[in-house]
Amino acid sequence: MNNQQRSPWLRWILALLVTALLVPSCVPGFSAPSKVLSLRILAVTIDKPYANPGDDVTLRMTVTDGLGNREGPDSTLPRDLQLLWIGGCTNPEGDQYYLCIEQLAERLAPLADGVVPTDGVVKLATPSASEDGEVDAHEFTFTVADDIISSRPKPAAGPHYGIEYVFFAACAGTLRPAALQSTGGEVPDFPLACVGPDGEELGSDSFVIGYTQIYVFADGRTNENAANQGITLNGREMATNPDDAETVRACSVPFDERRTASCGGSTELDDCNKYVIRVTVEEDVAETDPDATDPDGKPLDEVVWVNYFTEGGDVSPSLALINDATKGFQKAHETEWTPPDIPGLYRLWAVVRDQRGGSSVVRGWVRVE
Amino acid sequence: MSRFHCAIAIATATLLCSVGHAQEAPPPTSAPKADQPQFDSKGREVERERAQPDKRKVTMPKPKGYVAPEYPAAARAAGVEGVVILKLTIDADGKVVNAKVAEAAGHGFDEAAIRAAKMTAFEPARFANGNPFKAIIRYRYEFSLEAEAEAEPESAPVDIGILKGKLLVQGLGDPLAGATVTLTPQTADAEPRELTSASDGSFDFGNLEAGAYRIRIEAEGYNELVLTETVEPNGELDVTYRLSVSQAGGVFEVLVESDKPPREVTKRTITKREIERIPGTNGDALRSIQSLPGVARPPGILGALLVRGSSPFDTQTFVDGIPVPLIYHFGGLSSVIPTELLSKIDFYPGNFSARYGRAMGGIVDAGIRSPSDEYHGLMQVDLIDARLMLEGPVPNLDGWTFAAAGRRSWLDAWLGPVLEEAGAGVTQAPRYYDYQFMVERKYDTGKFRTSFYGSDDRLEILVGEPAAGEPALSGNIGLITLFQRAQVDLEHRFDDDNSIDLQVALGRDAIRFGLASLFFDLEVLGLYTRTEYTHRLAKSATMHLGMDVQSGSAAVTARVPAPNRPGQPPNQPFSTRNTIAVDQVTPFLRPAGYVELELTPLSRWRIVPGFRLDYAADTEKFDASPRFNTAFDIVEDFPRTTIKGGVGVFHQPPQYQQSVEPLGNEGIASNLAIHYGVGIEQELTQQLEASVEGFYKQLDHLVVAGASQSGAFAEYSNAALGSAVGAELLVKYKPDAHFFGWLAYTLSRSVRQDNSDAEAFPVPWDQTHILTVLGSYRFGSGWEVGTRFRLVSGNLTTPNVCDFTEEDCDPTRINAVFHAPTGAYTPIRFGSTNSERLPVFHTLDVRIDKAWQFDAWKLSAYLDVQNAYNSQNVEGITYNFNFTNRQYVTGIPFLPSIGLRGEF
Repeated sequence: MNNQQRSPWLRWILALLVTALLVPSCVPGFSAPSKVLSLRILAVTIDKPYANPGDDVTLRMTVTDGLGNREGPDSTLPRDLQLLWIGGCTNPEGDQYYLCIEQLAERLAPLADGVVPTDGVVKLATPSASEDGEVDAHEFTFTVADDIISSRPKPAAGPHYGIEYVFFAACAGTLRPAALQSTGGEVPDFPLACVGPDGEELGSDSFVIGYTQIYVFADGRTNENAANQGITLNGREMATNPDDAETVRACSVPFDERRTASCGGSTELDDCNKYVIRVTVEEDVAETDPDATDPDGKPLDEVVWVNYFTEGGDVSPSLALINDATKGFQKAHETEWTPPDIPGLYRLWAVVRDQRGGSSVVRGWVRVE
Repeated sequence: MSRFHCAIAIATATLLCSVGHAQEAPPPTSAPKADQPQFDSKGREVERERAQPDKRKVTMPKPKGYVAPEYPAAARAAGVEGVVILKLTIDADGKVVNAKVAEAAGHGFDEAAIRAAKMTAFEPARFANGNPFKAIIRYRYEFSLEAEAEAEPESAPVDIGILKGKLLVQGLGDPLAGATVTLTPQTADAEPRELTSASDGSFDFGNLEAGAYRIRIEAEGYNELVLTETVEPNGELDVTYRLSVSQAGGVFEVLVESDKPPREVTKRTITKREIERIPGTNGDALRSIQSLPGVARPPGILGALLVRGSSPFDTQTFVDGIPVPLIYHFGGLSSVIPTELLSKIDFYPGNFSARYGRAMGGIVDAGIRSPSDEYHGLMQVDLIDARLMLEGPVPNLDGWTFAAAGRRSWLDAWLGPVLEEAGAGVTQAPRYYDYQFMVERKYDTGKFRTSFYGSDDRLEILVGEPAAGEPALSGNIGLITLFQRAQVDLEHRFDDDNSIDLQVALGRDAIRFGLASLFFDLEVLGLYTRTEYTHRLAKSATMHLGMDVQSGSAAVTARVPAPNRPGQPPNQPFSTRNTIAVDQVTPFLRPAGYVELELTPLSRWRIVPGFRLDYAADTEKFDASPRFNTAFDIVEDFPRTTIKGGVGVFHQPPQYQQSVEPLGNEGIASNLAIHYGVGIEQELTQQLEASVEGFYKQLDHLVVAGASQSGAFAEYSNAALGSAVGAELLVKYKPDAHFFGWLAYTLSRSVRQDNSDAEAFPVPWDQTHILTVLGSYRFGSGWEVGTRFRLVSGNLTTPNVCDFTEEDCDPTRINAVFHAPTGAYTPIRFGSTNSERLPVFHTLDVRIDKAWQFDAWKLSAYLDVQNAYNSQNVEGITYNFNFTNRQYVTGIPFLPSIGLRGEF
């Protein structure tokens, strides 16, 4: 029996039971990861997720500041950002990224004196943000060490490979090194801080640290990024610039009321227009994973999925499967977007990822009235 | 002298006042054996010996002389005879201060009897120390025309047989005073005789003709007991009967015996009345264990048993000595054996007998009771499940009895639509059922039983949308756990010195877990045998020799996420990782033998040394486990004071997925624990007793998973170690006609180390303080109200984000790093392992019961309210996607449950 078929009295009883069971302990949940409400790094794509020794590898960061503009007289302008790249950590013991952190602290030490190392391993940039606050496609290129594979012993099982970690950070202020502190666990605190104009340390809404890794195999295998061909709204291609953005109706339910909807809050959300957002990908977007087979020994394709993001409104679900290892391509990889209550120009992103470190990003604009 | 004979049968000096010293009586000579769980199931002799002195505690009033009643003239003229039973109150001076007719005969006999009784002087009732006390007795006058003899006591008819004995509350061993005992000769024209049990539970029928008698025992609040006894010419039949508390309609008694070395050196008991009335348990026997000292509070409604700092996997569960994989249905909703079918629950939080092995935590052994020899049935429905039970004699098979019971949850029928209405992505609720069938034959020398029982839990969740961070996790999530046992039990006593217990069971266990395209399917077919031979070497020494063998095969088929491979960034969504297929059948064999001695060099001193030898074919290793327990009664009589202690070695073999490839690896040995325990028990009053115990567990060679260097899931080794230490206090008011309750407090600390060089950390379930206070009061007219209050230290967790309410919490701390290949955030934990204690847990549960007794059946209803004041108890912490925020996860809210039960 579905909701429509259920009689009114039964719905009333069920509503009472729901109230009895849920309301006493109901608290609003967290904001969805798809909502860009702070400084966020949405993706770091690598032109060669699987590289070769001596290759030049370029990493590209998609970063956006959802917290808001500057304070004071320049309030129409987005905040200035500092972006940092640090490479050079090769083959840490057990391939554990946190074993690079000590080395990282040494590399960052000169920053305390305002000196940026020029060894090609560290890159600090202060890009000028575009008016919409997005610093798109900031890049960092490094050269893979020639001995990245030969410097580590061949494992007893599996392919012979090397790995290089690249760390990055985005700061809506000024980056400076920080003391290395133990947290009680295996991973120490990151030896980096981000301070605002008044010298106060900024929190995670204005400071993001991350890392990625590049694999290098002795057998020369490659991995192409999981490509996309655009993003659509109700089947129509979304604009890549604000001037061409399609116009949709706002949903009058404010942000706070949406968070409490599951606690018996607003039901007006059901009456808002919703739009289908879908990243466009080819059916053969997934490559064959050379090390993966099904129980019968048949080779398997990569798993590919998409993360959706929005700076206004809500998307649900936040992510969707594009290619299943055993079931193949999944046509139903769209999401549903509910516009925000405040009119304006908004962006939506789709980040397509495969399970081997490949990714691609697409962005679209929409106008809300 | 008149023609009549007035015979006084001072058959019953029944002490109705409550000043007698209650002590245990000898074991019954003719009571139904199946309903005597408070006695050692082996019938070991120590209890008898210990109970003997109790018979000398009190002497009943005796007439100093005889005052003949006058035979009413009208009755004599009419040729009428009669028997009058009076209830006499005799003070400490031996004077009859009150006389009432308990059973009237009319025709003037009653008045004549009262007049005579008031003129009779008595030797008063006395304690063992000679002090007199006021007592009420039943006094019988028989008016007979045929007798020609003088109405002198000396000329009363000679007793040609005696039936006497004692009534006890089943499960407690407390004397049952005030019960009506009716003795009816099995001859056509015979009149029944009746008396009331004394405060020490005793009764005494003298002057009995030889022959068969039907004896009926009735007491308010207890189940009626009817059975047949035979009195031999000039014989004295001494019996002990146990009556079970009946208000909720249960016919049988369930014991939960805690910390019970052989022969009950230490004994804590929860009676069926207590189990059924403990608020917050829905009357579930096994869930009541969680209110005992030494048992930590499991998170949420999880049914795990966390015993004395041990992990949930360290406590083994058995049904009649045969291992079962689970004792609770999903989430601890209820236990897999319904309370109505349990005869006892042996719960050993530590220092358990050599009879049990393969566990280093605790033992729970649930005993299924014998079916009744009269037809009895019940039906119960509450919000969680519905159950049926029928038992009685097997038609056309003399001496055989049967029981059949079944239960099915119907949570799925109403919770699913509720969840759907709430808009929850999950719209299915768990469903479980269990069933028990058995036939039993009792013999003079033992019993034979064959039974089939099982449990089946199923949960299927339809996830419409992918879970957060898991793009490939949509579709069905299924979990099935089931077990079945076909079991034969034989108890046979060769003679007074030799007996044997045998249990053989064929079993099937299955665990099936499905998660989208992933699944894990484990099916175990096992043969479980347990044999114990008991031989009394001497009056003060008994030996037990036993074998305990588990064998069979375990079939695993699975498709599970593979270990991380080169080229795959770590921190992948669980559902997108490549899979590995497992399909293998592994035989298993784990035999064990043990020997245990029970020595009583003094009547007050018991020593129980034992030795157990285990072998595990999967690890190819032997484990030797010596054990020693002792108890000494500093004060043997009331108020009893007992000190006790024990030390022992306990081994627990690794789980199969740890020791069998490809999931596990070879070269690992059993986990090891050494238990130390010491304690004291003190009787305070007849109803109140207290015990204090201290324990220390030294844990070594614990199996721990480490990172694999060979591409396997994990590399297991015996590197870990740890300890648990604590103290337990139990102050208990044993059930009386109105009230029961207890206070249980545990202070403990449990830590582990991954290896000898690593820093020690507390286990997540380390709860420093555990306080449980409960009580239930019976108001009469079928009403009873109970409450339970629990105050427990919060569980421990490893924080990733500091508590914003703490002054030293830095809100700008970077709590996680962004992992670009997966888009996920990797937390940088804030403190050391399990360094944050969640807020204190406190809750109040309330239970109200009402019973209606009809001629042929009984109806009961209850309201059981968990968390009556809706305490927002914290069970864990959740974090947002990038670990910038945290929220508490709260546990069971205000949760009322109602139930109805009818039985005949």
